[in-house]
Amino acid sequence: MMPADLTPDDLDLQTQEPGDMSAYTADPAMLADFIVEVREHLNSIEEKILHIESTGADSGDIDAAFRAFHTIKGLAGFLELSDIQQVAHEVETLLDLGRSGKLSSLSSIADAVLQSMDFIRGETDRLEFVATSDGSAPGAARTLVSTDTIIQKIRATVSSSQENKEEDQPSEVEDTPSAHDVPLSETQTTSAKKESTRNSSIRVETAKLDHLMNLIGELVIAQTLVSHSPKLLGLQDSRLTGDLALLTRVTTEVQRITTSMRMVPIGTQFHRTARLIRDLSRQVGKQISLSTLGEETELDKTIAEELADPLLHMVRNSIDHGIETPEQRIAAGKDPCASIRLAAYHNAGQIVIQVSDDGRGLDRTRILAKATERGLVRPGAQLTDTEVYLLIFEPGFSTAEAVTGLSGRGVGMDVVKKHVEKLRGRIDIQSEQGKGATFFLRLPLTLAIIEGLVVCVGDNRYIVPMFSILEILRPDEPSLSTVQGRGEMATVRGILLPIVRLHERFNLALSTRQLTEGMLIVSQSDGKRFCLFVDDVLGKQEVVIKTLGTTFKDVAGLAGCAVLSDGRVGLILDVHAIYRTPPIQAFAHLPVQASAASADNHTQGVD
Amino acid sequence: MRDTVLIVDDSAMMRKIVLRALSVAGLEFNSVLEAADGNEGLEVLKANKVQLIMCDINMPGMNGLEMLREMRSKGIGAGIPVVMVTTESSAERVREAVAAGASGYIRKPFSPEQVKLKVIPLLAA
Repeated sequence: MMPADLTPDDLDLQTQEPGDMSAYTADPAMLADFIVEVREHLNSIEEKILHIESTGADSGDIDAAFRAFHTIKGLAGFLELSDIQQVAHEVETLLDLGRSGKLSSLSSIADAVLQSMDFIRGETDRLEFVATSDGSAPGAARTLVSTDTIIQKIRATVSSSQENKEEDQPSEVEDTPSAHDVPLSETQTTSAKKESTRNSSIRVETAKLDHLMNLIGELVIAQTLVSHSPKLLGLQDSRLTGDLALLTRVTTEVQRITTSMRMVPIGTQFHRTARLIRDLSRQVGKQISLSTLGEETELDKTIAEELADPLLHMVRNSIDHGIETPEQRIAAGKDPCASIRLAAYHNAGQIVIQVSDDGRGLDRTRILAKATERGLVRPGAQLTDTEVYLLIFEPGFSTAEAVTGLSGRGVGMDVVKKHVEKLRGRIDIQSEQGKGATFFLRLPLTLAIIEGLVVCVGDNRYIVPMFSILEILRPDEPSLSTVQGRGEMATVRGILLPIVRLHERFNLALSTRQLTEGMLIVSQSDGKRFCLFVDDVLGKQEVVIKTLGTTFKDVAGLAGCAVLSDGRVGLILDVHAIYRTPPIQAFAHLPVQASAASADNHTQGVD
Repeated sequence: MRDTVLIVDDSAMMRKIVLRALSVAGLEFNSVLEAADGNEGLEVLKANKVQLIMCDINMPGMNGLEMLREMRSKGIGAGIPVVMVTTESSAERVREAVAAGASGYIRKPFSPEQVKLKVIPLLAA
């Protein structure tokens, strides 16, 4: 086909007035899309810039960052968000100089680019807030840095870091942005080639996915009920058996795929800490390098988001308390540059996140002294290393003294614990004096379904989440004993563990009173092991978690309920809470209510 | 009502904007195909019949002009009007696009009215 004739008007595009943009600006959905997309670009920009800064070299990162700002500018133009448009335009100018090799040093531009990025992030947050709070048009007073300040900063960076002093100054903001657009050269396109291998995808609202997930939960229950119906099974019909097997297979597959749709890679959360490490290490004069492993490890979106704060807190804690100053490190015969390592991997149906540093390690004596002083432990309490380390997560452990200006918001590590418990996860710490510490977060892959062990006490069915079970055993007489002041104990693999009788906790009639006739489930709560005594173990089952509703939400020891394969309802136990009610020994200070509240957090509605 | 439009842009929101502009301009399509770069665009064209292509220039991977040249040189999607939709607006760029075989050129940001003015004559032809 022949190209259309060009009118003079076509060649005079620069003077073209955009015209009436209300088709976009009046649509809240457009703004919502804008916010989502801009945030994605900002995250990728941050990653690229930090990469340039740490390597000092540009492997297509500047071009990618340029492109991202270019897109942000373009999109902002449609929504008439001139502040974002102007700032993005200025950064684009700066990055364009960078990618064409006109800047003296690449890392010198990082500050300006990151600040502009923060500015745009702040603006999108504000737009989102305005849009969701009262629906009034964007344009409310801004409390952040002014647009002019940012633009001046970028321009100053441009002029100070420009090598050749030819008159290549950035032009006025009032210019049409496109006047600066630079033709794409061949080298740029090839450098960006590797990014083009993307899978085609569509964006779906999280709410829809949640709804789907809930419905799949119902489907799984319905399928389980049908497949286990004694009446149907009694028919002994081979056709029916085949059909039921098919139903089970398809349901499992649908469930698997739906779960996978909610999965996102952990990498994004890791990258967020990169920025924190960069800013904090400068602030406190420590040298820190970050390495990551398993960025592509996938986990539930909700869990990933909930994980953001704990991760930042743990990294902050490492920088604040774990990592020494370069001088101290040299004196200790270490590399002056400390390292923080973030790793993620799957292990036994859980996702494990590891935060390690090679700092001084946790100081048992100091932690214990402080915990005693704060009344968190009784003086003279015998605690294992892990128990001592975990004390740093107790509310009230962190103090003004411990939390320096670094920790900013003045919140302690108890926030980490709160978040992780909310996600039904667990924290472990390994530490070696002078060599460093590693925090392990163990989290479930999804919040809607758990693997549980079905146990019975009398006529009642309970579900013990598999992640809280270490082992199951039937005790023999010689392993059982009663210790003065600590009650019944069992010796498991040479260690004396307290026994908690489930029927006593819930005041149930039971069929087994003799410990040797029932089963002991060895569990762990806050690093302390104990045995849960039940009548019998019935089997393992994947269950869809249902909330107990508001009436029973304060019952300590219960995390929810689930429909079992025989159609009966089983209560899901919150093992931590069961162990803590009534309070025990060293942890006597802990309010029982706190455990009950956290038990409530564990449930997720599928009503 | 027309059959199919192909929108090529690396930004998902931009693809929505183009679609919105077409629709407000009174240009409704039975089906809308999307591609995030030139390579994807060509793949879509090989497998589908489309009546109009709205194509960005600056994209990672294969850019819009490369895609256009590839189409015209290999006879992919012959006769289909291709409108370049881009922030780039220098006169050389427009000439380059036309030389590559573009049927129209719209600068971002654009209003639905501008889309209407540029696109309707192409579809009527």
